[in-house]
Amino acid sequence: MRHLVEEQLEEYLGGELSSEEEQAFHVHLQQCRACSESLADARSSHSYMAWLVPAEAPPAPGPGFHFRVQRAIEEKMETSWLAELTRLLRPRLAYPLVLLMLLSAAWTLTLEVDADEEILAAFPAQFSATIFSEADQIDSRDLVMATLVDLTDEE
Amino acid sequence: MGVSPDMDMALPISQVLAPSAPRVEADWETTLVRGSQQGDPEAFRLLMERYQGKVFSIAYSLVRQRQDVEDIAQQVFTKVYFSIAQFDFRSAFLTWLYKITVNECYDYLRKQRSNRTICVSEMTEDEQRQFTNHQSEDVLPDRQAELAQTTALLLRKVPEEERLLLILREVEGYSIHDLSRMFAWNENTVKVKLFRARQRLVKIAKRHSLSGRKA
Repeated sequence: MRHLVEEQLEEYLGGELSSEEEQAFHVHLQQCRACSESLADARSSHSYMAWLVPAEAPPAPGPGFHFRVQRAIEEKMETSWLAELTRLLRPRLAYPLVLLMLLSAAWTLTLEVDADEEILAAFPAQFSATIFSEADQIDSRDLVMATLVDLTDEE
Repeated sequence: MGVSPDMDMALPISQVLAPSAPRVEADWETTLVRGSQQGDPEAFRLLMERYQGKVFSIAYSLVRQRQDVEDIAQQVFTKVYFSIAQFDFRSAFLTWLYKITVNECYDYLRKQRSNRTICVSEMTEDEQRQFTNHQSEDVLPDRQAELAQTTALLLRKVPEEERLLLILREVEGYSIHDLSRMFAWNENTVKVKLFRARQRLVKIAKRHSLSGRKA
């Protein structure tokens, strides 16, 4: 059996059926219990929804409405650069990026610093930055030896 | 992008879904939406001016607090501004806007859920009968607002798409033909979805002990 209520319910509730269609609809209702129940439910839903239709006109936008929206947008733009960045990156990229940042932060915090490097780091920069070449080292050694010889001679 | 303000004059709001000039209207709307997506403030302003009345209307139907409707509408258009780039033209822009508006109203109702809301299960038998049969003649405006919120809360449990469809049909008065254009569905699909939405709403109401009693 064709269930007319499902097909013609909206037109029936809106009074949009022709008189022949409405007559056929009523005949069908008398024969079909499922459709009678569906129609009763539809009428109930129509009644509940009718409460949402206000008796009075809705408020109209005030004269400064556009300006207020514009200001709200500007405020949000100023405060939400991070959100915007995340939106642009999309979750597919943003989540791995955040994960990567967390991993590098964890790696930095747990990194063991070599003791010598620590001492060198504590040494004043102008000294620690100086790198002696092998030739410099030989020259220095010769200079020390020459000074020792001079001292011995003086004695 | 240069959108002439004259276009707004040429197409009054009442013709938004008028079948007489669907092509021109669609082109006009598409131009404004694309302009807004590219950050054109004038296009966004025209879109807002065109549809703000509809946003106010549906927000007032659902929340019934005149002083809060403008705040809700402001939130709606701010959200539209920031998410319009994601609008993909699969349905009418108005449908998308309605969806955002209804969701914003439900956010508001969730935050405000308080003293004004009547719990259906606590209604007397007479009150339930009055609610089920929509006997609004002797009901004071405040009480009507409370009953409207009760319906809004029952509707909250209906799936989002069906809820929007039912609101647009019953509150905004769109025809099946208009709805089929707005959602880009055929008319039979609209009817079937409305049928299911109605059944679901009644089922929810019954679960809240409404209308197990016959009127």
